[in-house]
Amino acid sequence: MQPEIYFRYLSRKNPDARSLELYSAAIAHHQLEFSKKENRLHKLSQRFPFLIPFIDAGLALTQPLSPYRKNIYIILCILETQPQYFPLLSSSMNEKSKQTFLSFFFHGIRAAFTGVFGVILVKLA
Amino acid sequence: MSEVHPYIVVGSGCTGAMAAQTLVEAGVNVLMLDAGNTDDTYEKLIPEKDFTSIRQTEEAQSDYLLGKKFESISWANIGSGSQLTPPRKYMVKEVEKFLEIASQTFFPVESLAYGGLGNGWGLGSCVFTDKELEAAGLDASKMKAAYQTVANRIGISGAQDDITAYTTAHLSNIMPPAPVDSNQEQLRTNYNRKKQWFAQNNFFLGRTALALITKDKDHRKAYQPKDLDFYSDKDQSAYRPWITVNELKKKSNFSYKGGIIVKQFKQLENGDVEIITWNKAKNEEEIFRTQKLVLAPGVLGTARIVLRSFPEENQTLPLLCNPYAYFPCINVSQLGKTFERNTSGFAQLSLFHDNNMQGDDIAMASLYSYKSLMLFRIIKEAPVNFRDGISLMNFLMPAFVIMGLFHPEKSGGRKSLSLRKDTTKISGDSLQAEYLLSGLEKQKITDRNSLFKKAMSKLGAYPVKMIDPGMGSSIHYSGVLPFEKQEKPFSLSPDGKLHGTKNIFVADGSGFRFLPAKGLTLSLMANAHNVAQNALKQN
Repeated sequence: MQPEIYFRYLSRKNPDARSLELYSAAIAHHQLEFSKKENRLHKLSQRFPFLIPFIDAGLALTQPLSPYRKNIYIILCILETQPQYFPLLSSSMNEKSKQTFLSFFFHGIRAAFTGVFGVILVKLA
Repeated sequence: MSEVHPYIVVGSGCTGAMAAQTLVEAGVNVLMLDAGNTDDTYEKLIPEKDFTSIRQTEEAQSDYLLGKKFESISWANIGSGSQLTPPRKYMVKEVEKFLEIASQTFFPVESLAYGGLGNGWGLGSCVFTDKELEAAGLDASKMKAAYQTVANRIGISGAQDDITAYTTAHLSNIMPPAPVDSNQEQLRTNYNRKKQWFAQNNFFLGRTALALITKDKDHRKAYQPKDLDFYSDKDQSAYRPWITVNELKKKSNFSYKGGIIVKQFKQLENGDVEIITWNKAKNEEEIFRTQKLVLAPGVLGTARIVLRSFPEENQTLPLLCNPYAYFPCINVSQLGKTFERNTSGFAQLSLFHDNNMQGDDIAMASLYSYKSLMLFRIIKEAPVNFRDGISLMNFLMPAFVIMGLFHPEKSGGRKSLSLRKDTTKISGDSLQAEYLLSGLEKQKITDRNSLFKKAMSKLGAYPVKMIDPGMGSSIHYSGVLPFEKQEKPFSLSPDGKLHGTKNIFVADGSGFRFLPAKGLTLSLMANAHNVAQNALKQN
């Protein structure tokens, strides 16, 4: 597994050594068994990382407990417990990065469109 | 022949600790037998900081927020205690190994921890009304005195408001409540504005009474909100039964033996009781003798021990458990706001529905703000990709109010326990449970859920989902040996003695014939105190 692309997908940054070390340790405790389809989706993600949000969204609607998503979930958990990612994952605890209704609706609409496209992509893969 | 102990108390949870304290204060010699699992990993790792500071600065926070074995990364929420934070996981350690239960309809949480399930107690403290006490089979006047004794021992904070009659009622020495955060303050403002609607519909909102001290008490420190309530008990402001047991250990007439799992008892001809146990460290049976046995291993634990002790009866026992569900709600006035830095993870407000205003059919909801349980747990539930989930949940999180709703429970339907031989288990058996509500009971719960959802909407917090974790998740169990005035097998006398025995008392909730929806623990402890007093009287 090459987790870097998924770290970049969530944080838009390259992962640091500590995060990668935690990821390896976490994977040792939480086995991931990809089906043939999930392997295809993983290879597609490596080749075209811009498709990851769509694949993730498609699986969230069709197969929310997929090991593909579990892998990203493990990375999310690691990011949330690293101080350098505090601003990204805890903006509601940070006065400076207060969100507006406008950004909420933008993200909501984007999430809906991503989901629709993602379901089609996952079905085709 | 082994030493005969005057009193043996089984279990160190809330009821065991209270019963033992009453006995020790009366001057008799007490031995406590307990499995006694402890957290030897996490408590020492958590720094003396608030939750936000930890999140901003601590490199090693993943060790205790995710766990050394990443046990907090729960993908499918499988297994007993899957929602517990890593520092609380020791509560369910070895449960699957030693406390086997087989059921398709009942999923309880049990504990072999030092302090038992009391380590995860939400601290909600309510006295039962006279009608609730009567329905449970408890003596109202004796319980009132016992409530005050227990409140004085553990320390309770609360407010004088519209729900006092349902929480602390007649109790004195109640400390002021901890501060309420702006999320829940808004709900209180809305309640005051629409009080007429709530009163007309028999709903009442107020501050939750908690076993949480807000003033220093003995060596325990007053509560400082750090939002680490699900992780650490360092200042001991939240009452945990191990605090009592630690104090008892300093007394010369108390001794404690951990690593012991009680299997069954035998009544001897001279009235003494032989207790057959499993010593975990030695991996062998160990036998103790006592003049009086006080059982307090929790309702399911007591059921196992009693059923094993009378195997020839092949008995089925009744069972009660509060139906429970939780509802994430969005308090729209808080959308996009910033979290206050130091808030409380405990329930801050409670909403009561007194169905007929007679005090005998009350449902209770506890309202929580959501912060220290981490964003990843709720992002997982959103039907969007994780990246959008981060953005959306950051916006929604300060507005989340989690309503945990308990319903009262009476006997009826198919609710029972039995013991089946199973040689593959260390204990040699397995508890079989069935818990099926009748159609009428289900309908009543559905109707009441709708009423509570409407009440929350009136408060400005709109329910977005109902999560039903299944029967057993309320962690409120009772009724396996119901109180009976007449001598009857597999029941308790009103003073807590097991019918058909001379010197065996049950101090946990096994006798309660009715389970009010209110926080149960204060009543369990008050009853345990009374049972210990009765055991002392019958010398």
